[in-house]
Amino acid sequence: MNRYLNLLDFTIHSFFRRKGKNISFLLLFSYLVFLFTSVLLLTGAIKKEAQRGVNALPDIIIQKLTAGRQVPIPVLYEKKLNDIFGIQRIEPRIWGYYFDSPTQANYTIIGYDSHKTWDKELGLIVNPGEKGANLEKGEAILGVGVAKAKHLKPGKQFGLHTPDFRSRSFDVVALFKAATNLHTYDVILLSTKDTRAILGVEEGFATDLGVYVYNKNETTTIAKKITKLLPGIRVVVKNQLARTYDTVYSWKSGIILLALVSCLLAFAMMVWDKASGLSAEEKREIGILKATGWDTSDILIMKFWEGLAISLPSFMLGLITSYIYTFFLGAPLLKHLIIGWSVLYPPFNITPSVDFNQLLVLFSLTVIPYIISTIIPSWKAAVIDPDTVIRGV
Amino acid sequence: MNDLRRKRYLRPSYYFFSILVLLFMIACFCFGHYVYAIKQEPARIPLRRAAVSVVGSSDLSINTAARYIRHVSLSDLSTPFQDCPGCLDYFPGAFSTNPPEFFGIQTVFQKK
Amino acid sequence: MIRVVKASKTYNKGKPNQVDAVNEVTLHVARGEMAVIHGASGSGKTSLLTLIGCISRPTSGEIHVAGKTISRLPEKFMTMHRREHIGIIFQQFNLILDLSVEQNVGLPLFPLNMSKTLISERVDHLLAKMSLSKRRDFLVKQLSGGEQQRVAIARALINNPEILLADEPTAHLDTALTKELMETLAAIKKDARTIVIASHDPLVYNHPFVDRIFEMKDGKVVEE
Repeated sequence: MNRYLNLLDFTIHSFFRRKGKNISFLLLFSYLVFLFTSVLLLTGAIKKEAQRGVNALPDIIIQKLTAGRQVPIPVLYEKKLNDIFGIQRIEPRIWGYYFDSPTQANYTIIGYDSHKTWDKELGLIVNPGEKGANLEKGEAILGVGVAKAKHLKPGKQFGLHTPDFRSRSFDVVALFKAATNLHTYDVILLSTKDTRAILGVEEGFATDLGVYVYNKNETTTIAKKITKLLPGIRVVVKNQLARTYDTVYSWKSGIILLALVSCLLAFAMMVWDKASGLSAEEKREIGILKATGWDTSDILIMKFWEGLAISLPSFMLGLITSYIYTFFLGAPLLKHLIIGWSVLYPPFNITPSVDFNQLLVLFSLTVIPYIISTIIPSWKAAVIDPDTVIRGV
Repeated sequence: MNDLRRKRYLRPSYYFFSILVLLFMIACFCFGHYVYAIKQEPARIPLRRAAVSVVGSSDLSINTAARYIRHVSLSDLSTPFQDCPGCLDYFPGAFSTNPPEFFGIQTVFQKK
Repeated sequence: MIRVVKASKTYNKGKPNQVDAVNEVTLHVARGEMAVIHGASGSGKTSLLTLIGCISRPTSGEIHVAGKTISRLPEKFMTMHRREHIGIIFQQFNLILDLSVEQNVGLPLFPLNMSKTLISERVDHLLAKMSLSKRRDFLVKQLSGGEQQRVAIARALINNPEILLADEPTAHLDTALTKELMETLAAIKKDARTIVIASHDPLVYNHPFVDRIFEMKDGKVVEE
């Protein structure tokens, strides 16, 4: 044990011989780990956040396409699907975007029928004490973002206009709970009738159909049957949505990681430079150590310590700072890059999500090559006679 | 003298290991925070479920860069609306930044 | 103590720049003797010394040092043998300039399983002997040539060797320092240590304490 500690002591003394160089390298190393880990952590957390909601969606969503664009789907299609075995229920949904020129923002307007099974759920997500479990004609429930942008609160009125510019006014009866901001921030919930009027969706048509099935394993089979039965439609299965989220955020983080690849390349170049040779001074030093009675294995242990003493604390420092940066400080700057911007931007805390496999990969891509690159050239120098090493200067 | 002796016989390795232990403890603290946060998650499930089923979409409302993100899963195969609701289309799109002001947008962006 | 039998050392064997640094040398040095290998530069003194010092291996012949035939030992055992029995003072001192005096002197002890306290005590003891105690925490590059020389000697003695080898120890010293060095070596000799010095300095080989002088020329011992 003393032997290893002695060698580590020597390594640390050596470290402080080139203090400036070594410390700046240590910081650079941590910074690299920090950058990569932050991108991975933030992307992972956002993906996870999006994935978490997927379960509550309809199993299949049916859209009608004309000329490659989504158009309202006839509610009658519902009848055609009645024959398919395994469908629990079909729900025509009316929703869409509304551009509000005073605030220059898009709101999501969603039609809601108070006599559906949703009532209990609605009661859960609007603030208690507000009249919200039912939604009558001329009433609206707003997301916090909408209320903020239009300076509204329960009891006040606001106006929306129909596609033919007739103005309609609505009473704000409730606001969504702030805890649901991530899903409801830009939402205006109206009765189905009002939604039709504002979005211009005629009676007998819906934005899309949500299909619920009994056996989730049958979803794909049922989706295929629906595709065969109805012409000109697009069937979206829940799994596809989950994958879409993955793609969208992976795409973003992929581009950022691509930009970071140059950092990684610089790092690889440095490691390569280290691995491909020792300076004359380092060679002479190994010669001296061997001449004073150090064994090849002593030098290798010393070099292993040297690699470890720089790379392990760097890696840990990078990891810790990136966790704190991402989940305690909310990843300023990087959040802009990965999440993007929004006119109505909800304040939210990211729930931590850590993929330990990714961290392991990062570890084996940084710490291990670094240690190896410290050992290999010294090993080459250490196996020859110290005599030759000293004379070879 | 005693102090000097102690300092002389204290290994620098011990400082190194204390730094490692310190880092490890902070890492453990982070891990604890992570575990705690994960444990909190189930409590939030009913609320999230209710919100998603009322809204009818699990898309997060963190992007109005909607051509790419918001409701991307349910939108058209082509463009439902522009990068920023109030502006003309421009290339390469609001991948990561707000649309530039000189596009004549008076939008007041809420703070991120 | 040291017996060299027909030892040869050839560098770059079989290549056009082949050098026969040591050519069938035979010599014998008894315990407690001070021997000087004398010869012009390039005569093979240093090579012979590295052979005796277990730093390099003879191309042919046998070398017996401190009761072991070291020419046949595997590298690991050669190193161990050197650690236990031999201390070496190099011509260029071979100190690590930006480490402290303490670190440099303790260098040979680090790979041994020895506690920091023990190492420190030994270093203290030797530094006191070499009157370097005040320089303990100085970097070697801050010391004068004579002091560096004494650090090198202290390092050679740290493992308490039976045999001390010195390669041109006076090359960088003036007359006064050379005399001082010889006094130091003489004192070391009194502890029943065997000393072999390679030198062409008259102040060294004419010193009264020298027991044997080997004259070397072109890799051969021509006269004893």
